[in-house]
Amino acid sequence: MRVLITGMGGELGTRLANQLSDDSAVDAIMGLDIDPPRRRHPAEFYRVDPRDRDKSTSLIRRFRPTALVHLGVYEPYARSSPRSAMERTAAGTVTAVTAAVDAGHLDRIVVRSGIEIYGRRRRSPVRPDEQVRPDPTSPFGHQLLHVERVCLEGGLHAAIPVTCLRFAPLVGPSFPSPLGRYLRMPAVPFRALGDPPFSLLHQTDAAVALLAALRRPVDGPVNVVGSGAVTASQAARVGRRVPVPTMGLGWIAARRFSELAGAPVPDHVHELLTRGRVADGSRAFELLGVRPERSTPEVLEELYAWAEVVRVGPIATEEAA
Amino acid sequence: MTVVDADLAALDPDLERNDLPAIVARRLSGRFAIDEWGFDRDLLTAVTPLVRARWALRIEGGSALPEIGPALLVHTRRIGLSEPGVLASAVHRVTDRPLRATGYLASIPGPLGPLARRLGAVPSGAADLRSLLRAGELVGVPLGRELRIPTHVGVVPVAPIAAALAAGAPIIPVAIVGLEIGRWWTVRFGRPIPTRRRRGAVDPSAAELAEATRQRLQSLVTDSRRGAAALR
Repeated sequence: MRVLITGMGGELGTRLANQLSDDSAVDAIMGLDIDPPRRRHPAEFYRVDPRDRDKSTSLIRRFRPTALVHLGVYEPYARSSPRSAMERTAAGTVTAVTAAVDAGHLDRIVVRSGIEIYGRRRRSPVRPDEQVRPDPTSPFGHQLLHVERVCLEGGLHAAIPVTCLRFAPLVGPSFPSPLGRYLRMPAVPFRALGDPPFSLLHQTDAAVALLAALRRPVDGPVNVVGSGAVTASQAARVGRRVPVPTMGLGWIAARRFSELAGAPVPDHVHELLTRGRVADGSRAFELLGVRPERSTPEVLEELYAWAEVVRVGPIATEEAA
Repeated sequence: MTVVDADLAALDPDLERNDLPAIVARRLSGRFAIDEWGFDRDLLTAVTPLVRARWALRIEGGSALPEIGPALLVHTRRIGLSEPGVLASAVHRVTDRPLRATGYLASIPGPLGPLARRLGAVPSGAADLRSLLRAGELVGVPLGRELRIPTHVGVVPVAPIAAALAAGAPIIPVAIVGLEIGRWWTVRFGRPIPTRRRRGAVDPSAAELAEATRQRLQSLVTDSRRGAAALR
């Protein structure tokens, strides 16, 4: 198997590349991303802007992948601004899928999607399963829907299975996530009237699901969600932060202060805080043979257990001493 | 005093301490359980004495309720304001399990809707019903309203029956008799109607099961009224 990992510079991509290095079925791994990988890895990595279609296409065609793991799905304010996240995701998806299918050897596609794709309209199901039709209500949700559609079209064209892994919001130590940053602020605004529940997923469990989907392709969507749920006010108490009840126009001020504090709140995170976000992930075990090891409360505990940045003074050198 | 290991308590919520200081400590630390639909067990424990003071229940056939696993409880209603609360109280008293009441409660605007969700109410969409039954919950579904003739049960909705059939969850008919503003209510659980597929047997359709449920409910209501008349 020749595995192409787009978006390999992220935590998930680097983890997956390292896990694949021990797999005897894998002959070669190639990674593409605008950011360099987060740690040592065994892959042939190229630093490419997803918007640079010519360079990406020539690299992919030369590699002739048999499996595409598309992780080049950029969450707004995770590693890039909302605008560049949208541009990179849209351009990178079309380029990667088209070039990989055209190379002629592709036999599976695994794509990182999210439960934001279901949307949170007034009458939307609270805990949608895979049978519920995607109906996104946030820019990131629409971004994910576009990614899934492009991958499904590519899969249809090449007559190969496309596994869309719809992850719950990913949060964890050293994982760039707007929700993680928000929950770690000293004060956490939450919806005063009916603080809604949301589920989380740990990056390790997401990487395990990606590996399982790569080894055992499933044609269709699979929700991957940590069991249980938490609310924003509950999270604030667990993390010994100050829960701030917020409603109506107060959210404008809350989002502004949050941005000034270094944790900008994109629309899909605001939607999660005011309308909740959970999904039925019970079919993941049946379809992939794996289930997330960490529950949502455990993911949250781990997020808060992650040490704060400790600022130390200048180290006195021998000369100065 | 019984000392329960914290890890064991996490596995079985029944082993968790439910006295007021323990509940307050959990609220302050944020380490209390809340499920994906927003159900908060500690809050239910806190309001249970108030609910018991509000309604005096006479429960019949409580052994029909399963201790574990999913079931669809199809219940009668007239105006329908008190019935979900009455049934939830009866189910909690018999099995110590929460009832996931579908219907108007979860959709009330303002703070009441979210409060109802904290106490176990859920929206009545097909996807949530499917998901609840898959998660092994006891789900309460009201019949259509029948205001003109009190002895007639209303229409049995087919969509929840189809969800129970797909999940293999038994259907339990429940007759609830009482006055909307009164204190005394009778909750009568009927024999469960199995939906799990049997080898060699022809699968019933959702419409057939809905009709069987309606007939069983009708006989439950008729018997309940005869019993009430005999007591007068």
